[in-house]
Amino acid sequence: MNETLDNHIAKLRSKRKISQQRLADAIGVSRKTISTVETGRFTPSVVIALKLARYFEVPVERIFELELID
Amino acid sequence: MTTQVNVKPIHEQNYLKDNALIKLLFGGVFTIDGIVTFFELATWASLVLAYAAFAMLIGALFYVFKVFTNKVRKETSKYDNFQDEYLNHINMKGYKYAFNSAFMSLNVILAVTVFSGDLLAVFSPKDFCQLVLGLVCISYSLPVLYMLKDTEDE
Repeated sequence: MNETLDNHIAKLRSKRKISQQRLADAIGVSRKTISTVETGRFTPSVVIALKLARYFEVPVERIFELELID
Repeated sequence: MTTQVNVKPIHEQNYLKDNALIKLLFGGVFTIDGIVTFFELATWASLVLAYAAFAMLIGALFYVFKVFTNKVRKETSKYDNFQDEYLNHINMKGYKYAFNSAFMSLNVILAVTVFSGDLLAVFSPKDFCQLVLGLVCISYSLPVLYMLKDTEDE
């Protein structure tokens, strides 16, 4: 059984109408970090996950989701 | 207790990019020098490669100067650690590629010397070091530069 990490950062961003750069500045990372996390090319640490959750004011589970693939 | 200097991610990104460019240019110089020494090329081909190597050397020295004036250098050069996670990740990935390419090429050379020692007699220790260094530098910098390439902000 495989697992993939899905995220809803792009959706949350577009809801709040903020750019990747603005989000990156707000949580103190590079825009590259945000864009690669969004596209699933890079899995961030718990620290970044918690910073994102704090920024969007939602639980971490609302941002990241572990999907099981049979 | 650890103290952490606040460095902007964009400065770290520029530092990593310049560092990768230095390694790519020096890698090119080493490889070209190795090729020119090892293969008996026509005079014009040697000249073209020598000019290319000289241009690369000038470019590398320019980036060395740029890196030395970057304020991020003091913080990152100590442990080669970036505060930004993704930049740290691609830096480590570059080292992984560099290690694997050095490991594989040295294994191949070792195997060749076991079966036919004469084949490598034409290599001087200087040529050998240059070719391996060139390979290591290029295999570090290419993946780093590829992963740093710009994408549009969405």
